[in-house]
Amino acid sequence: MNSTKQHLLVSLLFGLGCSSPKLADPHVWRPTSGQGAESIPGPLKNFGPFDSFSDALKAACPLILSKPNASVVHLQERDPELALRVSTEYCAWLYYTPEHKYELSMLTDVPLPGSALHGAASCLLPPNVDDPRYPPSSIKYIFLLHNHPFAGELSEVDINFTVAMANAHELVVEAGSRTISLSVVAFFSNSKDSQNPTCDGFYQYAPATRELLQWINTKGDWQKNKVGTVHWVSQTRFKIIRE
Amino acid sequence: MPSRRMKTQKLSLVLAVSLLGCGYLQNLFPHQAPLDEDKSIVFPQFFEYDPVKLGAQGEPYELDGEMLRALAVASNDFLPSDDSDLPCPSRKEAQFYRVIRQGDIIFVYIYENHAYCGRKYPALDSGVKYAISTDGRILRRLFDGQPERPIEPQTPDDSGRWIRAEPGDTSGFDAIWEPQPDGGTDSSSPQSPTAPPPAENVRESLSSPH
Repeated sequence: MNSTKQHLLVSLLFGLGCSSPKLADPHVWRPTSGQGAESIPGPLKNFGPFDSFSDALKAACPLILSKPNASVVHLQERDPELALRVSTEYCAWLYYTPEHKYELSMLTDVPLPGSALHGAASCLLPPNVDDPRYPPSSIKYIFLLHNHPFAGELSEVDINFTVAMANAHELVVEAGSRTISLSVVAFFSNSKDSQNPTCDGFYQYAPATRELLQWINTKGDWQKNKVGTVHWVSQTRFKIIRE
Repeated sequence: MPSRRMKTQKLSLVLAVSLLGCGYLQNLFPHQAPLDEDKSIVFPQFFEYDPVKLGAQGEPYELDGEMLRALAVASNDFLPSDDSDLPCPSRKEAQFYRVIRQGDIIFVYIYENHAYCGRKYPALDSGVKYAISTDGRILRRLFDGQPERPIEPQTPDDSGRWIRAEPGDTSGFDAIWEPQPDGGTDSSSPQSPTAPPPAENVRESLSSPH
């Protein structure tokens, strides 16, 4: 492929990836400046607030998984390349407010710039929430939420990012009378019905407990299973011991 | 002749890294997509050990051709273009490449070097793992967030491994799984980590009960 053709192809792919006419979704925030946003707006309108983080999670799971291509399990066997190309990750913060409520920030589906070239889903979650009702320092960061379109487990990057967020905010949050560990949550659906991506559970990792958890939702009955422990050997080394 | 040998090794490394960075190897080892992935291949853990950083402190390193080819095959598959108009995070030079060789398989984990592009944090699920044969074939490719093993929807059973709880509640497992009959402290419990935790505030918080 000569350089002109290659240039055109790259430009085309960027065009497709960066400016494809995604339908406007009032839940989804896409910063105009592209990468590098420091804050994501909150709260999500007409969603919450919630008195408990569990209620907020139970509501956020089906909401996020209902977004376009948030689950591609139905495509995985039939057309894995298409599944990879269309898979989309959405991410958001669940946070605690001075009014003792749990709120969800807006969702974002902004991937790493240029990721259209290889098709992998990723999500750029700004480290802070901008809720104009409260001073930034009064917001407590509880869960960083996203979805795994292929229903896989948490990645090493997820684990590292969560630790970075625990450093940037608080490892353990005092929320009213509760003590909550900041953690990452990856929702998944096992549904083969493209029109009905059910909320079947999520993976969770909290640096404070070091546990990797799998949660299963069976018709509203939530149960968790410890799938492993992250053993930190140094600030950059960790080993996952599976159960 | 140690200095001459050292010079040659340094030159080899510089040449190798330059070729990789500039994408010249793309012509030698053209982009290929995995045809029949071997899903039985299990990836090693890439963060279990501190990596030997190639090029650090001007020490000589040697990379054999198979290793170099595996890196080139993986990087060209993940980021096939070397166009100068690419956004920074999608350039080959804006990634980290961790490599582990196990027998005839060279495992490569490519993940973003977010600091290279001036960003403070990475994107969620921005990495990809490859298993490359020593003759340069992609045996398996796994993007972050994809399941390593086939998905078998699980149903909580009465094995004792499952706990009914409010979703998101991270408490409860140690008391059930690691009972301390004498009331002693389990050295592997979160309250007393045996190894340095990932951050200073982790150490402080974990050392005090909450």
